[in-house]
Parts: sequence; C-alpha cells; structure tokens
Amino acid sequence: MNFSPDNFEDVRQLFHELCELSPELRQDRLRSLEETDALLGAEVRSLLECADVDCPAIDEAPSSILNLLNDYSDEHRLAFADAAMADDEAPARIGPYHICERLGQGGMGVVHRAEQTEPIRREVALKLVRAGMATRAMLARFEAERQTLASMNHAGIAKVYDAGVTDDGRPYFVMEYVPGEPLAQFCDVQRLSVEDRITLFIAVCDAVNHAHRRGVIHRDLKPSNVLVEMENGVSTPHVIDFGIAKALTATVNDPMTETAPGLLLGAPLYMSPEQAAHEHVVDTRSDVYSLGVMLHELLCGRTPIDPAELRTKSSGAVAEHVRKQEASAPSRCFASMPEEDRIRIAAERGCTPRALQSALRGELDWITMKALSREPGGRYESPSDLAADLQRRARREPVEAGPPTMRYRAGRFVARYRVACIAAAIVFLVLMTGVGGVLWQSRQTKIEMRNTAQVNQFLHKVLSSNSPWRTGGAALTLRAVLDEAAKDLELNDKLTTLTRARLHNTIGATYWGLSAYDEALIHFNQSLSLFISTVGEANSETIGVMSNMCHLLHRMGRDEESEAIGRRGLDLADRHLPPNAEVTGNIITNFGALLEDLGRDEEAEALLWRSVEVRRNQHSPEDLAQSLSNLGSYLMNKNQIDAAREYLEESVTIGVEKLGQDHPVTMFAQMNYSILQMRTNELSEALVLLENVMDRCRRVYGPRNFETISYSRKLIVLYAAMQRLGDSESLALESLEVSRTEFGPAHPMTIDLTEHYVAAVGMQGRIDESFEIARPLYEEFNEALGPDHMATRRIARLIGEIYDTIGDKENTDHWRAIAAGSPGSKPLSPIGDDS
Amino acid sequence: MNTTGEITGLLMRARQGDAGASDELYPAVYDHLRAIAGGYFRNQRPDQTLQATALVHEAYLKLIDQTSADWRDRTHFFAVAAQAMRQILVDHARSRSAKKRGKGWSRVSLERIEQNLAMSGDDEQSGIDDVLWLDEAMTELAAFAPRQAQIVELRFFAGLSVDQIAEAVGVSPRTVDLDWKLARAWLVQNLMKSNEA
Repeated sequence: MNFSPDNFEDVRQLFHELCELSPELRQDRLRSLEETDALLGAEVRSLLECADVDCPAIDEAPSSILNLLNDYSDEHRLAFADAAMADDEAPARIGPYHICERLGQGGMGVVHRAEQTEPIRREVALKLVRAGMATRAMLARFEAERQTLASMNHAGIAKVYDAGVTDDGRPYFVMEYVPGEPLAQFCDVQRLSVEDRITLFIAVCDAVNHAHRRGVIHRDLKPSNVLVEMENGVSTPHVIDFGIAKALTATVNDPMTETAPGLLLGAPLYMSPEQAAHEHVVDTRSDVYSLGVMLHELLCGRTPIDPAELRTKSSGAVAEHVRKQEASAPSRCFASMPEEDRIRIAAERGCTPRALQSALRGELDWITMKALSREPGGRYESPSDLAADLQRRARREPVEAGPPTMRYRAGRFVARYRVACIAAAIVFLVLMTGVGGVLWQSRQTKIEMRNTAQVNQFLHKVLSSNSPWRTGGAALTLRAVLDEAAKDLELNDKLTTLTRARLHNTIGATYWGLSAYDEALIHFNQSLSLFISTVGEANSETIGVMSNMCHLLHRMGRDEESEAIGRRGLDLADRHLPPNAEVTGNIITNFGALLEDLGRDEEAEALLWRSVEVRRNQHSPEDLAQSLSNLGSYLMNKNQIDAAREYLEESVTIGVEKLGQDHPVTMFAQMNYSILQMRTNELSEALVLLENVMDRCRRVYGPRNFETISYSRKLIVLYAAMQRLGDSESLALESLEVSRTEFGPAHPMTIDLTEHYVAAVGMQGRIDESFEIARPLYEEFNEALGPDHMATRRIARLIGEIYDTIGDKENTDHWRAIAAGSPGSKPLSPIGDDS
Repeated sequence: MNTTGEITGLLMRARQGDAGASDELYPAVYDHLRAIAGGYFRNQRPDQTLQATALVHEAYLKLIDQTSADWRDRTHFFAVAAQAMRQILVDHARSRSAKKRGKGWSRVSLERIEQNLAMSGDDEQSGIDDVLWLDEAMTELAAFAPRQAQIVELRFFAGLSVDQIAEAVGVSPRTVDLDWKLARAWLVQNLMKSNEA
C-alpha cells in the first residue's frame, strides 16, 4: 500500500498527529480510523510501522554520499591532471584564429602564435587556458574589464584583443603578438650591464604605471611576462597578460578563500606576501613588490627567494615561505652564492664579481629592499616612484630609500606579528567552519580537546624557531592575537547579534584551548545572553553554549554553577531537540561527567549509558569513542571490570582505527585503558601504554596543558604503585609547578598533585620534608580561603595522614578534625581517588 | 565583476522575480560546486575528506557576498546547491555503477532494509546503489510531496540541520521533523515494495 497524490494531505496530517501519541493511544486511534476509512487507516498504519524500521539504505545515506563525494573528488583530481596534459594539444584552428607554433607554456596554459583571418588579418598570441577553471565566470570577469583594458594604450603594454571558449570548453585569450625574448633571458644573452638593465627596468615600470593609472593591476608580473623586442638596435620591453591574471585569479582570491589555503595561482617567486596570504588588499603596491623581485633578479642574478628552496615544498608550504621569508639585499644575496655562480653572473653583466658586489651595495640594495617591503605601506607608492628613485640614483641625487634603521626593523617586527594575525584568522575560520559555523551553520562545538590540538599545531607552525615571540612563551603570543580578536569583536559594529553570539562562542572555545578559563567563561556568558536574546533558549546553538559552559565550569571546579547550567541545558534539549541531536549528545555527556564527579551515581550512570546510545545513532566515531571511554571509566570505578574492559576496548579500537594515534580521544581512551590495566594489576603493560600516551600528549597538547597534566597525574600514581618513588616524586613536582602557575594554587588539580608529591616524599621516609611542604600551604589556604574551603581541608587531611604514618595519634586526630570542616560540611572524597 | 558578486547578483535578481536570473543560477552554482568537489580548490590537500555539508557551506562562503545577500538569498542558495549537489553525485554514481557492472544500476537488495543482516561484500557498491535508489525514490516522492522531498534533499545533499531546513523551507522545525519522519517512512515503504515486486 502506498499513498497517492489524492489523499496525501490526509495521510500527512494523520501521520503527524499519530506520531505524537503514545503507543496505546496511537493503536486506539488507528483502530477507529480503520473502521471509518479502511484504506486510509491501512496506509497510515503501514507508514507508522515503516517509521520504526531501521533502514541502512536511508540512515547511512549520509555516509554513502560522503564516500561518493570523495570518490568523485579523487577521480576528478586525476581528471584535472589529465586535462592539463590534454591541454598541451591545441586544435589547428580556434574561431577565426589559425594556430601556429607554440611560444611557451606556463602554469595557466599554453601560448601559441596564431594568425587571425577576420575581420582583419594579423599575427596574434593565443593563450589557451587549462580546463577546470570556472569558465563562464572567468569570461564574465574578462568582459567586465574589456573596456578598461581597451583604454590602455602604451607601447610597453601588449594589447589584449579578445577572449572566448573553444569547442571543447577551454577558455582562451588573444593578445598582441610580440616577437621578443623574456626579460631576464634577454639581459643575460645580451650581456647587459647593470646600468642598461636598470634603464630597461625603468621602461617596464613606466608601462606598469600606465596601466595602474587606468585602474588595471597586473597581479602576475614576472620576467616571462615582459618580452623585450629588438628593433633597429633599440630594445623595447612589452608587458603581456594584463587583465588576464585578474580574470584567472579572482576566483581563488575571493574573500573567504582562506578556507582553502595552499592554492597559489601565479608565480610564487614573484608574488607579494599579501597575495600569498590571500589577503584582499591586493593593490598597485603588490605589483610594486613583484617589480622589486624582478629588479633584484636583474641585478644579482637570483630572486630573493631561492627557487631551489621552493622546489621541494608543497604549495601550502610555498605560500607560507613567501609570506614569511625575509628578503636579503641583492649584494648580500650575491655574496652568498658559490664562486662559480658569481663569476658567471658577473660575466653576464660584463664585470667582475667584486665590481658587481660594490655596484649593488648601498643605494641599489636600499631601493630594491624598499620595493620589497613586507608591508605594502613601506613600499614605493607606485612603479613611477620606484623608477624615479632609480633615476635619482643615476643622477647621484639622494634616494628616497634609506638604509635599514630601527624603525625599519620595528616594521619587520610588526610584519611578523601580522603573519601571526593572519594565521590566527585562519585558525578562527577553521574552528568556525569546521567546528562551529561562521555565519549561520552551527554545530555544537566539541571544543576542548580538538581545539587544543589545533591551536597547538597552529602555534607550532607559526611560531617557528626564529620567532621574536618565542621568548615570551608560545601561549602568550596567541593570547595577544586572541585578545586583539576579542577587542575587535567588541568594536566591530557591522556584525549581527547572532554572528556576534557565535563568535563569542568560538573565541571562548579558543581561550579554553589555551587554558585561559576565565576569559573563556566571559565569552561563553556573552555568547549565551546574545543567543537567548535572538533565538531564545529552545535552540540548539543556545543549548550548545550551555553544554560548553557546563563542561568549562566543571573543569574550573565551579561545580554548582556547572550543575545548574547543565541541568537547564539538558532539560531544554529533552524538550525541544530531537533525541539524537548532536547537541543533545554533548550536553548529556558533559552533564553526565559532572554528576559522576559529584558522586551522583544513579543519575550519572543513566546519562553515561544514554550518551553511548545517542552517539551510536550519530555518525561521529570521535564522539562515540569518547562516550564509550566515559562509560568504561565509570564502570571501572564501580568495579565492574569486565564490562569496563569491553567498552574501553571498543573505544580504543575506534580511536586507533578511525581517528589515529595522535587524536585526543584516542589518547583519552588509551589512558583509561591503562588505568584498567593498573586496576587489574597488569602494571608493566599499563606503564608501557601510559608512557607512550604521555609522549604523544606532550607533543599534541604541549607540556603546560591541563590534559597533559591530568595524564601525568595518572602516571605519577602508576609509578608510585610500582614503587618507583623517585620517578613519581619528580614527575609530581614538575606537574605541580605547572599546575600552580597555570591553574592556580587552590585548583583541585594542584591539590591532587600536592597530595601525590607529599605522598611520594613521605613514602621515601623524608617525613620532615613532607611537613615542610604541607604546613605552609595549609596556613596560606587558611588565610586566603578560610578553614572550610576544600583546598584548606584537603591539606589539613594530608597533614593528618603524615602524623598517622609516624604514629602521632593526638596530632592525627587534631588535623582530621580540621579536615572534617565545620558541622554540615561536605565530606572530602578519598585521597588519591582521581584514578 | 567577480564570482561572489555574480552569484549574489543572480540570487537578488531571482528574488525580484527575474526568471532569466533563476535560469542562470542553477548552472552557475552547479559549475562551481563541481569545481570545488573536483578538488580544484584543494588539489594540494589530497588527504582531506570532503563532506557535503562542508562543501556546500564552503561554496556559500565563497560565492555569496555576505554583506549584500539577505536570508532569502541564503535559503535560495542552499536549495539550489542541494539540487546541484544531488545532480553531480547521482551522475557520478551512475557512471561508477556503469563502469563497475557494465550496465545500469541494480536494485537495492533487501539486506539494506534489515540492519542486522550482514551487508553484502561490496559496501562501496551498495552505497552507490543506495544513492541511485534514493534519487529515484525522491523523484517519485516529489511528484506529490514536493516539500517532503526537498527536506530529504536538503538534509542529505546539503547536510543542513533541522533548524536550517526549517528556515530554507519556511516551516517550523517541528514540522520539518515530522515531515522528515513521514518522508523517511515513505522511502522505507517504497524500498520494501520494490523488493517485493
């Protein structure tokens, strides 16, 4: 039975209505329906039954679609490569153009000489572009610029006549044919002197300046785009490809393309840092930079970036290199070359290496370096300014460019900082698109672990060894960047409230990744109130923030607040979200973990089971592994060892197979598994696994991260259990120091570590020393936090325990009484309960 | 004019009732999605797993001028993108299936209904068959229940959440939820019937 168009509306209404009913009521309603309208009743019944059938063909469709998409992507990636090969073959005729010999080949395609037959007969250069670019859009951009391009009328600029598409869909551009040689090659073959090279270069600047005055930026200036024509002993440079680079690159240089970093169209050796960074401020000064690179090469024979250095790099690494590389001055660059190269290069300029070196030093170095300023503001305003300075030098007038000064160096510093900012912006994008959603798509952030890993990878990448920020500590640097971003968010009035809410959530998550809990909480709070004021409470994003806050407050030891927000979020999720919603899974998990720590076993256990159930119905191996780990660890604490082993094994297997060894969830699962091994007395197996996890943990999170410290804590216990008290003591001391500074002296983690440290010292018979550690701490806490604070009481208990080991009953009782707190205080959890 | 402006412009003109713009929109979005899915923008990152959701959103960020587009353009874009994504992937599935089998696709077997039965050996092939079947079934569904079919399309091929679909389709999230249940039930029924036949 299948419903048909005629009764669809009835069926739909009944289906909706019956879905909401309890099973009993539903059956009653169906029976009465079947009595009045048998056909309709049967249809609705059949559908309701079908609604409960598991159907992988539908339920696993997202993963089938995912596979298909990736398969498509793989196949077409190869196809693009094939197309690139096929592109080398040009048809004999394209439109009115008869194709003649090939002139050259570049990244974008092949250039042929061609003869145009109508409406006029002339020689042209025809550039056939690789397939795979968004053809229509490219041509639209070209059309939009056609007028502008036509307005350029300069002997040094090769005209672009036409653009079109071949029968097999490849775009092409038709340009004025210049019978000439590429600039660098021409200079070397003709053995032009430094001064003659500069004269030619000034002519190039002049041509580019002409285009700039008409609003056309080249964007892909390089020696092979400058052809030098020799006529009657006069050499004239012609700049080709004006307007083409823009048509080709606009697609990839669009805003938001940072989500696909790594793709560089154009020649990286000649590209300005802002182009390599995909910034959108590409302006005439980007061309000035490229001219600077050309000048550098014309003078000393090499580009500021050594092409050999780029050859082995992936495209992403190339982009990074271009953004960060500090260009060295032409004379310096020349001096660093092997002698045979210097002799050859000098000979091509008709002089000796020594003479070339001294010709370059000073003003030519300064002028080149000014054009090559990392900051556009530090460069010449226009190509004609660059040319003018070269002419001043030729006339022996003081040049505008000067030697590097403190200010120059300070500028460098700021430039580096900007790189960090740009990279931070990319991290934000990754976080937002991958985890959150920049503008409206928003999935619950599973922040802590994944973010920490991402943030650390980012730090590792950006703040490489020569960074001036290194001395301040890596975290400080990102903090500075993040603080800027947070300030920006306050000041930026263009954002909608909703976007603001989302950004606060993301920034909070990033602070959290840096273990900056207070700031994280401030941003989550702001995010929450903004979400509530726009989309209300009953919304998955709002509940997502609550889930984050529940987790964070728990982590900060503010259990009551954590419980309040967790309960509120869970209640909302249960009432308003589908039972298998991702956010529901998250809040159940976070809230469950809190209740477990608070010792509310019954409620906690129900949530831990629910969390596994919910996540088995979702499609994230990461989430599932996490929930399995939580459940396994809970069961282990309840001494249900066999059940615990089953879930922990499943969790580890998912982690290792689906997520990889370095994934935070894998490490978490393995850590739990090692504790299970400790429980079952497989100590040496546990040690091998845990030490291995620790190594990865330090690498992935960094040594001062909360996760790392909490893993250390397990290892400290394990060392102690294996009677390796020295190891236990030194790791405890090291972790304790980190914990005190990073999380605060009274943080539960710090107190835990203090207990372990004192225990390790005491167990080695150094009783006096253990008193010396514990006593001042007690006084400090008693003074600052009062006698009833958990931290104060825990240290009091610790002192009592030490007295107990030396058999001093009176003092033991005294301190235990202090540890109990004033009447009605919450009992302390047992010592060493953290594993 | 750049690409961002191009698609945004088409969306705005379509919103103002320009039928020509509507006609141009689909092929333009289709081209771009294909280029993105084809790895054109990420050919340096072959290790990355693509997700329909991420891809459609990437396209959204790339193609839509965020400052001038309003929410109607956004929902319209997602509707068109889901449709284009479906087209691209179904075409791909057909060609895959044809290559593998030397003919069209075969019916989804009964195993795919009952979860507990082991899946047939060729998981990849069953995934392809699933998508082909789904496409046909969705077309059938769309004939009398266009909104419900669109909900399935947005869910699977643009990876939208219930709330987002609600915004795109213009009904409440609760209705989306129920309509999705209904559409899914109908699809299950359709699959069972085709297996009986």
